Amino acid sequence: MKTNVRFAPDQSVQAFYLFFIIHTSQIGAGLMGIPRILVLESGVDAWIAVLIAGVYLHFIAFIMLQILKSYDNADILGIQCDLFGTWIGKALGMVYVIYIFQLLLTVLKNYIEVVQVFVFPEMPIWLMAFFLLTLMIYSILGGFRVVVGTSVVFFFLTIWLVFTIYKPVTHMDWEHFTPIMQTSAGDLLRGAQQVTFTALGMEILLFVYPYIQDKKRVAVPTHAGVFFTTFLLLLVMVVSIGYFSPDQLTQLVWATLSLFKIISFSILERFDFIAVALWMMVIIPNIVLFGWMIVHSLQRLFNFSKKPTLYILACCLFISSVTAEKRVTVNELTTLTGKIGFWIVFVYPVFIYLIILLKKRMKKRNAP
Amino acid sequence: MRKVLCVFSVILLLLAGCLPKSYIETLGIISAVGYDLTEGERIRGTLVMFQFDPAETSTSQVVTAEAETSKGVRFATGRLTSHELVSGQVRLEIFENELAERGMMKYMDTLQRDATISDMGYLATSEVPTERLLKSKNDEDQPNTGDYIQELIKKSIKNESIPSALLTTFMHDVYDVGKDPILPLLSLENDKTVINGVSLFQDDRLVQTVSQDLMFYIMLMTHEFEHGQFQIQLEDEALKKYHKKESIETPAEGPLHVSVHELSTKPKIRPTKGEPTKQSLSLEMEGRLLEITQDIDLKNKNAVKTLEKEMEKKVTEHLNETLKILKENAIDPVGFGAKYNAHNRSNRVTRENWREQIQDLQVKFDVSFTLLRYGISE
Repeated sequence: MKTNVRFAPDQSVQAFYLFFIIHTSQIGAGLMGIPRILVLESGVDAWIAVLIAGVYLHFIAFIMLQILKSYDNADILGIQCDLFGTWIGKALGMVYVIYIFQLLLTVLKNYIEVVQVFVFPEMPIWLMAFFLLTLMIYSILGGFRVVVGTSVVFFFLTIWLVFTIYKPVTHMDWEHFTPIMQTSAGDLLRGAQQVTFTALGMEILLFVYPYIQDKKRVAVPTHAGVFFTTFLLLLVMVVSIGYFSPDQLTQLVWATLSLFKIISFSILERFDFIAVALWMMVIIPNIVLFGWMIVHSLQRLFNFSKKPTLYILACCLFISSVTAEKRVTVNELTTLTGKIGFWIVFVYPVFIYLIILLKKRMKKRNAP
Repeated sequence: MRKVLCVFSVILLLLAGCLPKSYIETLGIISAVGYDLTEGERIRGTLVMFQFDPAETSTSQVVTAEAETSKGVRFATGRLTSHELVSGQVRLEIFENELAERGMMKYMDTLQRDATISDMGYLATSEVPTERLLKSKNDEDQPNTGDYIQELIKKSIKNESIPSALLTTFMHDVYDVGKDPILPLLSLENDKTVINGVSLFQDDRLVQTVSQDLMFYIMLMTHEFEHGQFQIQLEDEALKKYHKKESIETPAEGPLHVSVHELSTKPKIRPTKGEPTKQSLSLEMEGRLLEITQDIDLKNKNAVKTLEKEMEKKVTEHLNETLKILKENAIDPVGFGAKYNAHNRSNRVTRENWREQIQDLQVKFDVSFTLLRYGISE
């Protein structure tokens, strides 16, 4: 397998699209439930945990960029094969593929569940899964540029939801925050680790890098995307701690969606229904980007042709999303994905970077 | 490719029909719910619902059924109407006092759990069975009594004559440590629903109901008034010096009442460090005098000053009385405990120990009153 790959300019995109790619792949189903998970770990100081996680996200983004910069035009699959040899490299590539499959399934299942709880309790899972997967197939068939375009369009179609948060802000009780730093450092770190499930998806940087035209300008959009994700998480966290009582927050599974429950206009009394429906636009870029990653990786690793892989992938997702029915399984899946994702996305790149550094030093020593 | 897309879009179009449909003519849209306790420890639920059936003359209907849980009530009422009952528009939930005394949360679980129920609905408790309340016919031309009560509560909150009764506020106060919720208390007068004061809670259990007057002083401590109003009775002799000359010869009979409008207040609670039971509350009040039952010479600066002083004194007195009632019942609707927690790291108040400490609560009131205007007569 070739380590470095080249793409024609009509297949690649400008560097600033990285902002949308990274941001939309990070924000997804996790944002809906993050307040409760975080408050369970870090109490009312959960917003500090978000800040800690934010700093770490930037660090990982930096490490990822360093890894990619030490090669000419490679993605993580090529780099792994270069570092560990073809066999181990391909095996590690498969680990990525399986993990992303699981992540994709988690996003899908969580969203379908939300729709069932909020809007259509009687709606069968297979129907919703079918709709979403059709959209996924449709945009991945369009190629990489359509995939990126999807994330850009849906970013702008949903970002205005942020402004509707003004209403809960008016009901906030700022005294929930004082006195700050009641939580122990350990709990804060555990909270920060929980944030990472929500911020999973930034590993896409390791896959799309060869597709970027102007490599020199990669750093700014990457960090901007990560920063914007952190900002949104922080905003949601601060507002939900202020709006809900801390004890109440531990009871609400999707606190972010519950925030929308008090918004109403005279022509639209229950905005939360709109918000749940719109959330589909938040998760479609997720599904499309992750699906593209799987298909692309399988092609890179084993030279599978794209179309059959895509259809098989959709079938696998469809079957696995229909078979897991109960809430508990979704929870278990989510927790498991979060744990695996933490190691793969937030620890493993550091390890790779260290090996690259080691290799460079060896080369220097060996060269006269 | 195009063929595949065509097939896809046709399938999508057809599949859209798989979703459950709700035709408005077949729905009974619940707008208000009342819960009572029956002798057999069951709940009797009364649902007020809208029906949009062109054949029917009345647009709303009231049905009653008994069950063990509040969702069970909805299920049981299902056999009383041909309409499918939906709860997306429930905007008012009334609980009978006897039921509320047992703790409301177990009956309210569904309000929180069911995502279709709005957080902006109103809650209230009732002295009389809610069935009678919701079936009373006097609804001031509203479509039904449920709507009338809802408008009544909404207006009263807007006028700042009762504290907020929103579901989200109630939940918030129940879950906050060191704070208890308040809800409006409804009653029947001549077969018409009226607000008759407020019910005070220990967490989610109703423990005491108080009159409208006392409620005002609780609100003075918690609420920042913007355009409230209140009446107060001062000492008869307090302003004797400043009576107008003409009326000195024929002094006015009866007690001295003052009515203040456009009241704006700023309460500020200051807890003492490390001692949750020692707090002070400063209250700045501003208002416009609109009625006074004795002829006072308001041109005289000293008269106004004395009037302000007298009012401060009287308000402080009432606040102390109110606090006494709160302490007797071990309730803290003001949130002294929560306020203390917000400023202290050590010796923090918890749900359990605060209940015991409230009896020892000492609050030093510091009230200042400013009269801004006094109408167009002098």
